[in-house]
Amino acid sequence: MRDLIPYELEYLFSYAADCDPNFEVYDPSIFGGFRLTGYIVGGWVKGDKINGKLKPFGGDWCHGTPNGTQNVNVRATIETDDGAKIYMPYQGRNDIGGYEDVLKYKKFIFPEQVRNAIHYQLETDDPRYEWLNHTFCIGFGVAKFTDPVVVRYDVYAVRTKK
Amino acid sequence: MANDLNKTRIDHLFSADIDLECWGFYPSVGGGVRVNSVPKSGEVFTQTEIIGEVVPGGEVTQLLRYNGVFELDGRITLKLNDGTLVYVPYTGKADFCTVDEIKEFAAGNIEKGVDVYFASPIESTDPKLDKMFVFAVGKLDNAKKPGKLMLDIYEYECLPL
Repeated sequence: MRDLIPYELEYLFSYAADCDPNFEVYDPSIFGGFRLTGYIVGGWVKGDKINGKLKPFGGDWCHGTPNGTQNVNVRATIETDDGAKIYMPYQGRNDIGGYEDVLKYKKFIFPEQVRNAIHYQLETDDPRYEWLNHTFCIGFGVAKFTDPVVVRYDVYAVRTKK
Repeated sequence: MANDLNKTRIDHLFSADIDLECWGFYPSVGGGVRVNSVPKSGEVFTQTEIIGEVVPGGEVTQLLRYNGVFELDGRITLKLNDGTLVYVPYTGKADFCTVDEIKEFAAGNIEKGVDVYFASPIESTDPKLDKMFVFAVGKLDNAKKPGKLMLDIYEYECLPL
């Protein structure tokens, strides 16, 4: 046994995605759960390191498994206020309950909110944000199935303390 | 820091020190330098006790791209003392060296450790672990010829609004 490796989180930015309310729920029997597809139509990005907007394309192709786990699988793009484009694919997970809740999803009956733990793989060709290509980022977020749907995340860099 | 951020929870789940056997140093593949290793043994532990072992097999791979991006990818299996199996497929990143240094690394002239980070949608025979999404903070002892990977694995979640 040993001591834990000291690390710290650095807050980078928050974002809220505007989503097309017309979700598509598929029943891929090969997975035994469901596939829910929701499309991004816009959104804001603001924070200590990045400010801008979400481009109106991309979406979430999440996969619900029979044990009540929903695996988030999103592709989005940020356009910063200073003109950089940042590709933002991310994966993560939330717990929607059990198999009975999976069956509800298939009937378009959603929980009030789901809470996501996320891992980002940010990518850009803009030299001002090139550091993102090397930075491991995690996020914490909530999706509320209200009208309109609210999807709100906070993104942090994880770094070992020197 | 903004004051309207989501409320969060991060808890140390367990750590793993993994002994590796390096199976290959590929200096020019896929736009970068690839290093492949295989876990051969190791311990899983909390801050107070040893709770399991690393199952031999799987893979720990690194791709240091010529643009400086250091990508991690791997599959590790842990077996806890109560028989619980934990499968850890992961992707992650590291910040290793400058673009100018990559050629030296490809030539085999740089041997140093690296801080690594990854996330994983773990799978487990334990129903609670089976739903977790985790991140890890770690250290690889030698990026060119890995012999040991130290990982601290954390469960994290966003709390209800």
